[in-house]
Amino acid sequence: MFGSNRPRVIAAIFRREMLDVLRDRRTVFMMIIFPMMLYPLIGVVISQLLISYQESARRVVIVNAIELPADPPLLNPEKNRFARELFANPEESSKLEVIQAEPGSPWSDESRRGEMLRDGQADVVVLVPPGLTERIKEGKAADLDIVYNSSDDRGQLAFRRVSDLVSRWTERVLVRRLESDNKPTDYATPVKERVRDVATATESNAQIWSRMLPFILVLMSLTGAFYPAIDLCAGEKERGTMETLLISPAKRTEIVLAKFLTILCSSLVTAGMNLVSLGITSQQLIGQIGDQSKSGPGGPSPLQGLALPSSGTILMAFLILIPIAAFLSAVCLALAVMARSTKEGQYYLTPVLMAAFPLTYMTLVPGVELTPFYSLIPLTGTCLLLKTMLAGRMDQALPFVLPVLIPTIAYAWMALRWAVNQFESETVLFREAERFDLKSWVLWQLRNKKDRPTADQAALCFVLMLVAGWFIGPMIVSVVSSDGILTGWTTILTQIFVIAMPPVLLALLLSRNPRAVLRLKPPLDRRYLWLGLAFPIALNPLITELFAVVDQLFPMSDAMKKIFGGLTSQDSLALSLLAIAVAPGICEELAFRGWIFSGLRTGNRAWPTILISSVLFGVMHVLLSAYQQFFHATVLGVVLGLLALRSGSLWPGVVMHIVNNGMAVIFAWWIRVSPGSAGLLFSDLNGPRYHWPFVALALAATAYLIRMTFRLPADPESIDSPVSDELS
Amino acid sequence: MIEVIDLCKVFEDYKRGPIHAVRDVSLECRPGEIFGLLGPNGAGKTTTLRILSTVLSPSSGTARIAGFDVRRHPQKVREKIGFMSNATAIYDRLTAWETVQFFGQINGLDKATLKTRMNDIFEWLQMNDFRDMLGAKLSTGMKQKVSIARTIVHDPQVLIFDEPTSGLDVLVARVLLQKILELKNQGKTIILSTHSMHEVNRLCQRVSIIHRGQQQAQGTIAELLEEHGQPDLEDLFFHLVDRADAAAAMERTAS
Repeated sequence: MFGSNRPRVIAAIFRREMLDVLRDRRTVFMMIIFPMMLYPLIGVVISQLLISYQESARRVVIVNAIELPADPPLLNPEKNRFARELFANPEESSKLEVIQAEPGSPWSDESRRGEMLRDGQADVVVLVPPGLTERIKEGKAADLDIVYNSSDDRGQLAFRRVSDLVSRWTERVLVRRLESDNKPTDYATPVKERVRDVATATESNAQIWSRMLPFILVLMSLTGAFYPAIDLCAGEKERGTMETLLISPAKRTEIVLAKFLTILCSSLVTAGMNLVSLGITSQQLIGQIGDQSKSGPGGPSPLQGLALPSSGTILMAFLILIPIAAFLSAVCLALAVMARSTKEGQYYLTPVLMAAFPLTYMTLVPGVELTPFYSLIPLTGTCLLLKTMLAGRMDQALPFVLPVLIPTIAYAWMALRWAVNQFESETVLFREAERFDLKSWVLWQLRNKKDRPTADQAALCFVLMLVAGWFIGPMIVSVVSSDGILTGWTTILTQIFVIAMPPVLLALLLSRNPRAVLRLKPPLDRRYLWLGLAFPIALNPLITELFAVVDQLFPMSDAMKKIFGGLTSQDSLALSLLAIAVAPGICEELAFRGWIFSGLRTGNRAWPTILISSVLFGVMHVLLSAYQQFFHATVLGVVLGLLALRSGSLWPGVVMHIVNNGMAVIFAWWIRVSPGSAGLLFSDLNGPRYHWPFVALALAATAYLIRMTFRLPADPESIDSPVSDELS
Repeated sequence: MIEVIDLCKVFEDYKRGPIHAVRDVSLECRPGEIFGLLGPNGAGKTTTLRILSTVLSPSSGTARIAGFDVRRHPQKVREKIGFMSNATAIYDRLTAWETVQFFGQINGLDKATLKTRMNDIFEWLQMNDFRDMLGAKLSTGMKQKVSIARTIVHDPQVLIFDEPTSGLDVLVARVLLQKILELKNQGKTIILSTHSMHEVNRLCQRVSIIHRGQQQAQGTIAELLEEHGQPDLEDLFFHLVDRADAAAAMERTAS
């Protein structure tokens, strides 16, 4: 789509758009002024808060303090603070104010005490039991009740302090006791733990930054992309300059690319400005806090962790950000083209943010690490990669750089294509601000059935399948198996209601010719059916090899293996075949080589159709079972797509799908029933994996079959050009 | 040179069903001629001209500009035309000079040619007083001049004006019409839509009267007056509009 564009034209439009953005006070404000002001303001607020926070003392009420032993003392001589020597840092003694209360005061009444704690009259209440001194002297134990409100932060903090003090005081009591019994002071602590933290200051800093920075960077590049996108598309429509540009000889793709580059620039500048401003502010803040903590109460300040990571790391992080910024820019661009006015465009921000938040939020969840699965998810993959890099774990981050960047670039490319499609559609560009009426829209859709589904409708089918899986899937499980164990019947019903129902319903409702759209006609040549039979047999050794490699790279959990094992072993062989081979063979083909394939083929070339449909096929397997299935499902999807395309029919794919899945069932059964004879074919019965000569044979056979596929007479639709939706 | 043959445009409307904005319009416009599209609001003039400028594609029929089909070679067509309408505004945040320069650049003019061309145009339209003023600050008349400059900067053979004088005061409108006439005398092929009989009388050699998306009559003004037995253009116009409305009403009652 971007082949024959003229760089000169793109550059001219880009220059103009940049000029436009830079002369717009609002975007400049969002890009540069806002971040430059935001963080210093936050900094001022934080440091003010910290100062006032440090000054306020917590109140501890001690009931019946008279009963406390004089030695060792829990309180200071004036009885208005705790004893200084109990504090790790004696300066902190001023942070707890002690108030004495008589045994008959409201504080000793349980219900009044609760109320008063809630009212904030005190943060902690300590109840000294009568005769405490005596009991200690006699070598007995006594209870010291500490009462606080855990739903209140201040209460919690004060409680932790008081509890520390009390345990230190108890240690002293113990020491006195040991001394009087002539025992060594460490008699009661035969083993002392000594804790050492190997984390250096930089590493601790990195920990904090690695959580926060990806979140900030991604959200800021989204904001930086969003407002200019709205201004450059919906805004131009509103100001009437869009049509002026459209009647110029610039191509649509040139216009889209130039606008895209402008938005990307703005996005990166915004993210960069945020980074710079945040860096400067945090350095400033550390300086301030550092000064205070030197003079004030000791101990490392929590904000010392805010020293920035090294500039090299930040530069790397910024480079990683470019593809994701490109993705976000392209999404914003497509949405902005769709919007009729800037006002409508603003409405799209909330859904975009709502989608972006959970995906970026993963970095803030402790313990979430990069996995191959996360690396495929837009935003999440990049955020986790940034997190790992900023945490300084380069050796863990590097293997994931490509697995994260390649899908992200692919998503960016798809989003950009979507934007171009939007830009080429006159109904999108010249939409009038008419009131949208759902009923008449649905009626119109039903009245004006088309011969072929569009790519949008193919996507709709996929989304419907996901939604059906979410809602209907658990229903089927609860109806069929009361004990929650998956049986063959659950699989069959899931296939019918989740996988097959959406495409069939859509074909009946939206298409004039459901049979043709689901590709139910017989294949152009009967020999395609034989290919459908031969392909899975030839491919099986190769697929099992692939699966072995995948299993080694991304091992499946034992729980997962159990579920898959259970599927094939629990039911009778016939039911297993029906559930694992026949039902998916028909249902999944109806969806992926039927409606979705036809839809994708409208307006797409042949190979992208095959590739996109097989990736969707792979993704569906990830969602239905495990991400390890993605790889071989996608590979099979390519062959299934090729057969579907060349034969013009669903049936060779159905045959291939049934045979392929059926082989897995039969082999599992064979290995269980007669391991000895199965050993002739397989070198490893657990995989299973074939003996290597079979793998070599399979390679040759597959090559031959692919050649055969291209030699048979081909369906006219397989000629490689986009199919217009006007042709049937 | 503009050729339009049986042009149709149908919009899908969820509520009202298909709407035939343009039905079977055919016309031809030659170099050195101003062709007028005369019709009331909503007649289909803008849709027709938008199809000629390739921002809309025809539902059926064809249109060729300088030999290029609007559907098959939209980009070539856009290189050959200058298009100006109420919907083609100028940039608020660019100066008059920058706006014209930008359109010169994306039309592929090289620096030197563009400079001389722009100097000529700014001189011709007397725009040098406000060449460095931002679009947002310009008066309506100045904006209209910038629009013309933008339309003709690449010296297109074919010019399309969609209601160019609507919303302008008489002084500005007069200057504009004068400039359009001068362009015609330079040998440009010009098509112009309007609902003003006065403009048609003053500018156009031939005219097509359209109403309800359909062409009601086409020819030189003298021919049309004679053919329909009407004393002047205004009477002719109302005669044709009434006739079309009556026919539409008949059709509705019949169905």
